[in-house]
Amino acid sequence: MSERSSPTGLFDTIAARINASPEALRSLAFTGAVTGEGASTVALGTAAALGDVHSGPVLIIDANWIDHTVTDGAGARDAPGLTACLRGTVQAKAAVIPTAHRNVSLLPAGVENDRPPLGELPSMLASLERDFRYVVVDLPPVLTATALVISWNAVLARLFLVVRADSGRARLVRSALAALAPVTTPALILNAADPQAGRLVARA
Amino acid sequence: MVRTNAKQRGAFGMDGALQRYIQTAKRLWLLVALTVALIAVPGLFAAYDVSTTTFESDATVWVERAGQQYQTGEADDPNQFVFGRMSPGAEQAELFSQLVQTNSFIIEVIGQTSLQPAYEAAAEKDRFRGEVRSRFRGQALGTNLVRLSYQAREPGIAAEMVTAALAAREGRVKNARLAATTTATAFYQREFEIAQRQALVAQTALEEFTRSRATPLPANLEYQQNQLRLAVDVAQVRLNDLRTRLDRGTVSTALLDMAESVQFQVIDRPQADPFPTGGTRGASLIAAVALVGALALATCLVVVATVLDDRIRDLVGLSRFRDVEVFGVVEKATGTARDATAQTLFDPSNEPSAMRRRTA
Repeated sequence: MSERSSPTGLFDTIAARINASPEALRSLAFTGAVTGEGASTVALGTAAALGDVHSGPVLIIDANWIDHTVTDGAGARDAPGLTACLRGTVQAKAAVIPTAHRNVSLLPAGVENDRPPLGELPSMLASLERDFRYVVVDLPPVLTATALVISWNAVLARLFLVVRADSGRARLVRSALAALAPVTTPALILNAADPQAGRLVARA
Repeated sequence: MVRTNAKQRGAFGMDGALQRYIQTAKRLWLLVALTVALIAVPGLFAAYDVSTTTFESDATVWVERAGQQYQTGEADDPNQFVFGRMSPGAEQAELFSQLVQTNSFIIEVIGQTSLQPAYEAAAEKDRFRGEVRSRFRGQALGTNLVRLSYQAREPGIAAEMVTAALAAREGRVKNARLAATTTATAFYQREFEIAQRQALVAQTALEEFTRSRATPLPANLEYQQNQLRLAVDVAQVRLNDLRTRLDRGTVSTALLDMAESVQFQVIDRPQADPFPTGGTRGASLIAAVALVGALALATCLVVVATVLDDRIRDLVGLSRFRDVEVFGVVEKATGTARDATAQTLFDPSNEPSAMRRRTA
């Protein structure tokens, strides 16, 4: 069976790098400059791949209240989630739900009209990090919710900015980097890259 | 983690840059095709139209050095040196090109053809003449051969026009020669009349002198009579000289007429072909310009679109963000990666999740 025969195989390299990183990259977040860069997909795939690589428990937090595709994909739109946890109405551990992957769990967004306060975020994340080897957060786009991304960044080990090949605009990426520049410089992940181009780079 | 260095960028840059242009062309294929179609197709149609509606007729003429009156330069004209070194063929081709530039010549030519009614009816006569002028072409085929051609849009006209142009040129040559001969003849005629009067006066004076004196004459009167005879002889000589010049002028005109037939012989008369001819060159030019123009515009379009396109396509595209770490690359999946990944995690056919049990 080839390395990339499974969908999550596309993310194995990223998972392996995170796992092999000398820094303790236990809490990670993925975002894009705008919607459509594939940040949620990369977050899901990386979480699944981390579950495969490390065989430890991995938690996906859907913090993308703007476009909660992960929660919707799991059919957990009505389940209590991150919003309730941050409001303190539900314990984080109680809101976590397992997925079909044995090592991967999900904390759904918890769709509500009002945004929850983020004051409980550090303690909630610290609590989750005790139970999960990796916490992977799907964040809304930087240029849509800059304040939210910056708030999350403060409690995360690493922020990744996903750029979709062939559609990601350099101008928008530059704006996103500029928006985050005062607090952090995210690492870039090129998504949906042409394998042919990758091989050319490797050969060079 | 993943960093592209200068060497990588350089090696990838050559192929990558070309790849970018090719990708842009593929992406904008409809616009590129439309651009090519909008320019090339009308151009090709125009070329086809020219090739099917051009009726060319030409005459091939053998020429020798033209008479002095048809050399364009004056004695102190710097161009004379240039023309003096031109072959008769080139000289006649140039001469014809100059004749065509004159309105009177064009009008004279039109007047001898079936285009005359159309010209008379034309509202913009200048434009009509310009159109006719642009269709004439004088071309030196060699040192002594000239081709005179005309391209018409209807059969028959071209041959008429070439024939008329040759006739108009011949008429002008004859008129010019006649004018030159007439001037010389008039001058000599006037001189001859003066000399005639002078001879008559001298003769009368001599006869008067002889009649009024009885012979033998004394020495002084004999000297006077000899002087009068000398005046008569001089007047006669002058008269004979002028008569010779007048005769020579007439002979010279006849000789020049004969020489002209040698200097300007129409070898191939213009033919009126019923089928289109001679439009291939013009049609090829139009088609080539249309195709090259279309390709150039399409290329410009692709280049501009590529330059203005700031989409990130590969690692090289990311390398423009200096001091930002490129952590990794996720290759494009054959299907929709999101659906496939979500299926792996949330597919009900996989191990039933507690979530579903709970939310059910």
